[in-house]
Amino acid sequence: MRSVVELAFGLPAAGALLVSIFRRRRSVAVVAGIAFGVAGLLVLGLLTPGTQAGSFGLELQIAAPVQVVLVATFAAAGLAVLMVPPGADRVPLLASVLTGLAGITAVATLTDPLLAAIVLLVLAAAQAAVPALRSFPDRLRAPAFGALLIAFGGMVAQGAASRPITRLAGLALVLGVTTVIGVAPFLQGLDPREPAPASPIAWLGFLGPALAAVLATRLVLLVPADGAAVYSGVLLGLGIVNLILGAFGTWQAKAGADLWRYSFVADWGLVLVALSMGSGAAYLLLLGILLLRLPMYLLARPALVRGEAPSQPRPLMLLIAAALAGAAPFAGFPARLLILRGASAEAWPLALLLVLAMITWLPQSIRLAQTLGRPTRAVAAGIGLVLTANLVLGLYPNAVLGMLGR
Amino acid sequence: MGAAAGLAIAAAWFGGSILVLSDARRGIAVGLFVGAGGLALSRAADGDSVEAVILMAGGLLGAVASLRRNQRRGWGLLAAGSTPRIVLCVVLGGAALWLAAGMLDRPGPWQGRAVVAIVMALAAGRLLSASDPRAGLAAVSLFALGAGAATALAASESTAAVIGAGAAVLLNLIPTGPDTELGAQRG
Repeated sequence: MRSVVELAFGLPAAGALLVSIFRRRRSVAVVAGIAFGVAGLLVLGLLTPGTQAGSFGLELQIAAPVQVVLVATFAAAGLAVLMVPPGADRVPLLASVLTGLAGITAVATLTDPLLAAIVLLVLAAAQAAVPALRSFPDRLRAPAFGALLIAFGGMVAQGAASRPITRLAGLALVLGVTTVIGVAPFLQGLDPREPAPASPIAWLGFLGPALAAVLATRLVLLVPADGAAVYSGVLLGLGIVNLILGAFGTWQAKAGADLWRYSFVADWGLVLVALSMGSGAAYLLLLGILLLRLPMYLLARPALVRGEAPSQPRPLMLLIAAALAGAAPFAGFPARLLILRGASAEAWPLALLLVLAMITWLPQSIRLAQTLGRPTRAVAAGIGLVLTANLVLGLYPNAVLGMLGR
Repeated sequence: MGAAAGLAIAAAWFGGSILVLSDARRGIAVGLFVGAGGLALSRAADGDSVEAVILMAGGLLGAVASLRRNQRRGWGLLAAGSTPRIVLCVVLGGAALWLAAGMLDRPGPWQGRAVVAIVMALAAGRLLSASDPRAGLAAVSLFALGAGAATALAASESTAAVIGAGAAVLLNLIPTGPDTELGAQRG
């Protein structure tokens, strides 16, 4: 069992390598990539949460919430590869998602924050090398800066000699993680013409959730007691800022990529508020980002690129809107109930703010659903799959909360 | 040990500063190599010659890869308008030394902490001010070497140094030509 944890990131990494080597023999590349990705998922699913000794003196660990979010990340990657728009090339996407999965699984399992920061830097540089509309330094700077902050926070948390400086650790770790993810105040522009793996959505919707789970389960343990108040305070403050920005942004944005970007930001606002309270709702919301908002954005992207006008509301659109707004019986509903319960116990003005934000998102979710255009049969099948997964999560949230150890 | 540790601090600051002050391939590669040399000397001064060799090899291979991939010829040192960058080198070097020696008490001896802190601070400064992809990648790779060395200070095995050195080489092998920008391709 000595090398099992390493296999969770080693197999996707090997898959990415094979896909790159066999990129001209497309069927071989696709089969090899999918096989190694599925094998990585199986290994990840079979791991027992807790500390496990790794090879060569490396300490590797996977917490139960991180494992659940990582499994959802693998599932989101599978959906992205499965639902490639017609005419798009599946091979480069497969290589990108496998690289992302390998990198984020390594970050999630390495216990040393400095080593995790090194992997994040490599991941950020690899993502910046994917052909895109923005320049290489523009794409590298934000996630790399976040990784630098995580490294700084880790160093200070582990080696601070005096009490006041330990407060810096909490600040640096939270700011580092949010910078890598790309939420306010480090928001980046979103152009739907940019391929999804090269766009900020790669961090905001795909790699960010696992990183947030790592922050909440492992990086927080590095923060000394003096810094814990700073850690939760910064998380809550950033959560509220993103919540308000997401609400205002969606009202102001035209029905296009910006509307999607602000909807991600609003979701992240809720996640950060939930994380600041230590609520299990945060993980349900992260699953919602991975298994609903990200796949829906990917399904809407072709229509956004074509600049299609929003379609008329239809029953399917209303279902999608309900799921995106977190209405019952979809996965967002129990998450929102849990977060409201936690907020009302902490401070009623916070609960009031959350309720107001959630209400403002209802009409915006209809606008979001309309950006999907007139779904083709394949897109409708993808929507059905995503909605079913969210319905199951919404009906049986206790199964997930049980896996999280809550 | 005292002289070697002092030399390591000086090499770390000098290498990092060359990286900050250079805009062309020779200066960037030499900055990366000298900075890695400072890290290696620091580990050698602590009596860990295996990690010193690993970090030096990582710095050397990374510098060679950076030299080969970078299209900007020459040294590119101290171009017009470099004064803010010179100030940055002095301020970051001093702040990192103060942090490592005065505010942290782990891992390892203060000289070792100072070397990694100086290297990481200057690399971070270069990364945030870089508009050239190759300079940005060289800065990230020097940071990775520093982070690997910092972890190695507290560890009994050399794996962290291997990860830092491997990342430094890998980062400099990443292509950054015009083909990575769709806007450039479309003209």
